[in-house]
Amino acid sequence: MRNNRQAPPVSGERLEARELNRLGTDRVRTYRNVSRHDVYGHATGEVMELTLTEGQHNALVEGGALVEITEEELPADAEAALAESVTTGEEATVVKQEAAEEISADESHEGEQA
Amino acid sequence: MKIVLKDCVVTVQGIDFSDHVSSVEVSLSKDAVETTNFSGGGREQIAGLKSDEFSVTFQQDFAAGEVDAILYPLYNAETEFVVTVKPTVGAVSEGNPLYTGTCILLEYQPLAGSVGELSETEVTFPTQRQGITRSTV
Repeated sequence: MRNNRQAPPVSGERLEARELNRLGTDRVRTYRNVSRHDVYGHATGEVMELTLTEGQHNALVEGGALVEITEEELPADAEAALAESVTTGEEATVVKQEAAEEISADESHEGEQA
Repeated sequence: MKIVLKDCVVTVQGIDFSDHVSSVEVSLSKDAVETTNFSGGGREQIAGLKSDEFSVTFQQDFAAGEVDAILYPLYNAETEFVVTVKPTVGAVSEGNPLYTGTCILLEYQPLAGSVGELSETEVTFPTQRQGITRSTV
């Protein structure tokens, strides 16, 4: 079988974002709390930005506590609000309430249409 | 002021599992390194490496986002994660310190118990490197 794995980057070589993800480097991602518990101080349904290792990300997403939200899914004004709050996996700051309310309002509207 | 444990807060990887925890122990420990010598007539020790750990008894739950769904991936992937414990649900303060440690899960018993008993599992979280830190702000 052909080995499709890429060679590791040379020290000092500039890395693209995709390469960083492949290597498992911590990065800031947006999540929604879909568990029954508070996660990093955020209640169920709230949106937050977290910096997690790949292992932490996998545990929380695969475990069903968080859902990752892509940029396409995030309302424009919520994205701006989140950009002001960068958190780490150990110290999550509270996301502006407008971001969470925007998403909740969108979901309610979609539910009514259905 | 003496307290009765009623509303300890226990988080694992940021998730507040307080409503699934029936007991918790914060254990601070350092190795005893023997330096006994011929002076003094008694033993002498100095503090060695830390081996702090949290021991948490979880009420087991296999639903998505609950105890097993979170602990098993942390065990399986050998991922480091943060555990925090504080005595009450109030704000962190001198009277309500927060104990924090970066941990790794090396042992996990997802299921153990007898017929008719509540399914519980006692999990020990050994800390890495600097051990458990205590903060009051």
